[in-house]
Amino acid sequence: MEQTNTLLKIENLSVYYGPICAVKKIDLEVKQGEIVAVLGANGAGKSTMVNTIIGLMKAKTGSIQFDGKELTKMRTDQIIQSGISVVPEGRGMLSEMTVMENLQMGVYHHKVDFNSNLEMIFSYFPRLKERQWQKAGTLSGGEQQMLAIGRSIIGGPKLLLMDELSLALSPLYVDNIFKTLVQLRNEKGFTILLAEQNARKALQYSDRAYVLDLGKTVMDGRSSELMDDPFVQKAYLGA
Amino acid sequence: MSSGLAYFITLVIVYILVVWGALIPFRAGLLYNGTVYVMAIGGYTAGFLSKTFGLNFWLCIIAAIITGLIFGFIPALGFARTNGIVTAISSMALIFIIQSIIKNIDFLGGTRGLRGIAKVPALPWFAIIILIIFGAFLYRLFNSRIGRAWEAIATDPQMAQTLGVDTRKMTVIALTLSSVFAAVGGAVFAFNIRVIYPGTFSFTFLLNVMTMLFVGGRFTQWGVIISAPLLWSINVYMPEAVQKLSNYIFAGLLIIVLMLRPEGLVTRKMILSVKNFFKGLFKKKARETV
Amino acid sequence: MELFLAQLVSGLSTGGIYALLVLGMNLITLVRNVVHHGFSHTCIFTMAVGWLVYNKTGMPWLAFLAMFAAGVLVTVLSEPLFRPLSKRGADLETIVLAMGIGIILSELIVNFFNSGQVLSFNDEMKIFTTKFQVGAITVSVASIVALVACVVIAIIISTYLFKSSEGRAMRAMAQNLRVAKMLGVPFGKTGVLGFLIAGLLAACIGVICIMCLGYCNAEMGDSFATKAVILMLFAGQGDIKGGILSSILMGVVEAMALAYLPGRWAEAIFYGFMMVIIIIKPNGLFARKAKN
Repeated sequence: MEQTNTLLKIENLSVYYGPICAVKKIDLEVKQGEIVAVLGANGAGKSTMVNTIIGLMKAKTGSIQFDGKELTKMRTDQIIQSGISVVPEGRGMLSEMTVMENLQMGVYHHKVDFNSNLEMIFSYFPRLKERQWQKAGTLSGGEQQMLAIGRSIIGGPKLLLMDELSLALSPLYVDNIFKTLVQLRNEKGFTILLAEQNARKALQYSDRAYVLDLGKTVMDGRSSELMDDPFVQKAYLGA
Repeated sequence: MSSGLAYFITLVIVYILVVWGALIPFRAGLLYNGTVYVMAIGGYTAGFLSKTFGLNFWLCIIAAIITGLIFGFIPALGFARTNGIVTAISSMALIFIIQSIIKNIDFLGGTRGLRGIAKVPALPWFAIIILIIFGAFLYRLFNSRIGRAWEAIATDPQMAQTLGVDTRKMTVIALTLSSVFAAVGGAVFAFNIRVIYPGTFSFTFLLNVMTMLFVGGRFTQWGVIISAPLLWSINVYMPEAVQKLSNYIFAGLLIIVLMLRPEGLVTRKMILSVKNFFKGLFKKKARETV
Repeated sequence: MELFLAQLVSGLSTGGIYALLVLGMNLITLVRNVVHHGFSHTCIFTMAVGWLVYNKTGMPWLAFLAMFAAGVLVTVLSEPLFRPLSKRGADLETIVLAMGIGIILSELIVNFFNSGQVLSFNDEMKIFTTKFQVGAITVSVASIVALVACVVIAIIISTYLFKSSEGRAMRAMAQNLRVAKMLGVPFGKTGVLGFLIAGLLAACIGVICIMCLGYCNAEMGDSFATKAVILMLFAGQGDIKGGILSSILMGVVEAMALAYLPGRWAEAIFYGFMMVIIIIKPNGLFARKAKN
């Protein structure tokens, strides 16, 4: 995996909310086929980073290189079109639309074979097949999260961004979802960037991780090594 | 004072009063288009009393205040339940309702209009007195507990509720007081123009009011004092060719201001700096005397 | 009974026109969350353009073409005006802005078309002028054609909104703009597309109004606008199906009120009734729950 090429490369990125600096000079790298976690407490700048990658927020300085393109100069829809999918924080359901319509929205930009991809999604998440004609707002939290993931992978993106995947889910479900992600990576070769508060789970299932605090990278390395690091254990794993 | 100038001054004061009427709900985060409706009621009340019973100006104004209170209060009870967009749109319907009601009431003259309203020679002076009284009242109001409650509602209704502000009650108060301003404006308007038709109180009138409100600045009560004479002078003192275009100019200005300068000409910052300037002056003087 | 049937037919065709007006405004609501009070004025404006072109050239097809061009042009050009306000989330200001657009269009009609007189259309523009007798009542072919046209157009646009990917994108924008953006819906392009379709619809409404009414004037813009905006809120903002249903219902109720109520009061009663309903059910007659 070490030899494969870099898919996403963030260099010296700073983002401001008005006068307040939310992300300070972050460097980050995601290689093809990796699961990379970005850890940190509330307000550490994870969501800001995700929003900046997809162009909802504008970077003040720095660059974001994705697949040979500079994302900071592009509009959100162009960025999505270039092959990035997002699972938004809070799942981002289009709750008045059916499950099927939500999935169809996932291929809005992508010229892919919808039906075969739909079969693939349904094979990973059989619950969605049962509920495909139901309104998304009537699903349970776990099912909505499945739908959000399904919707983000159905277009066959090169990179998946997942913002607070484990938020408001039961621990059992969190394990399930992360296992599915690893499975997706192994079988379909997806590259995944996780922004997570749940450091223990994220480190358990990811290859590498970055630890953010108050908008700065305080640590990075292989997940298994970070797991054993005394500082991380003390600050994020509660050991 | 020439009659033309007197007419102009009085009309500008009418506009200022009505725009203040529209400003009060805006303070509470509401866009209320019912001001023109209450204006019609105030105007017809004053006109009718003056014509039929020969009541003098001040009694007519008081009567207009009372009818304004009543006819502002009734729809306000309903609008206390609705959200911003619904209030804005359905209060527009009030204009149509009042127009079609007045058209059908014979003793108000129907479509032929209400004629024979008494001439008040000192009208501009009376109007200025009313303007000062109501302006002072509005200033006190905005700096009172009620004014602060309105501002809280405008910022975030849910937060205001958690702070213990009764949003429904405050909405009713805002719309009712707004109606009083508009009714007085309507009464002065009736005495100024001396013939009123149902069609006078129309969408175009509403557009004028909204333009003055937004161009002047909808966060302070001072903006309209500048914008009303400025804008209305287009209709009076500009060459004929420009006067013809006044509705385009009004609508165009409205659109431009909404897009480019959301706070209007006179912003809160400006008022603050003027206040500080005067405070500074007084402090200096105080020091000099010492 | 004859009166009832005759009023039913005319009420249905006016209801159809209202339905299309509400549909057009709903389209604009979906993409920009704007209550476009000036949309009805746009429809009347297209009629005026049609009248002018016909009177200058005498060619009805050219007039109709000009109507479509005018409808699309006016709506698409108004989109950039709404965009900054829509981005700022200033809902109330957009209402005022739309009113301003409406007034400008009305003024244009008053000043440049027939010097403010009523614009009546020639038989050649009305297309269908024959009337036929069913039992004791007279039915004009135009109102039947109008009704059918309204139904067809409403079906086409609803299908577009519910089945095509662009239509889905528009509805997604209305439900959650942020998520729609994250899924790659382009804010600018889809919005313009929504306005464009609304513009085409405005011209269609213009043509249908020419067939049914045969005349237009500037005041019609205001009364149509208020009725349509109120109907839209009556059904619930952005509720496509509810809007169509309640418009047709209202068309019939209004026709009945004209026939059976003391005529001069019909309008006041109509508006009063609608206002009471809106105040009782602020989220729309068909709303199941409050919008978050």
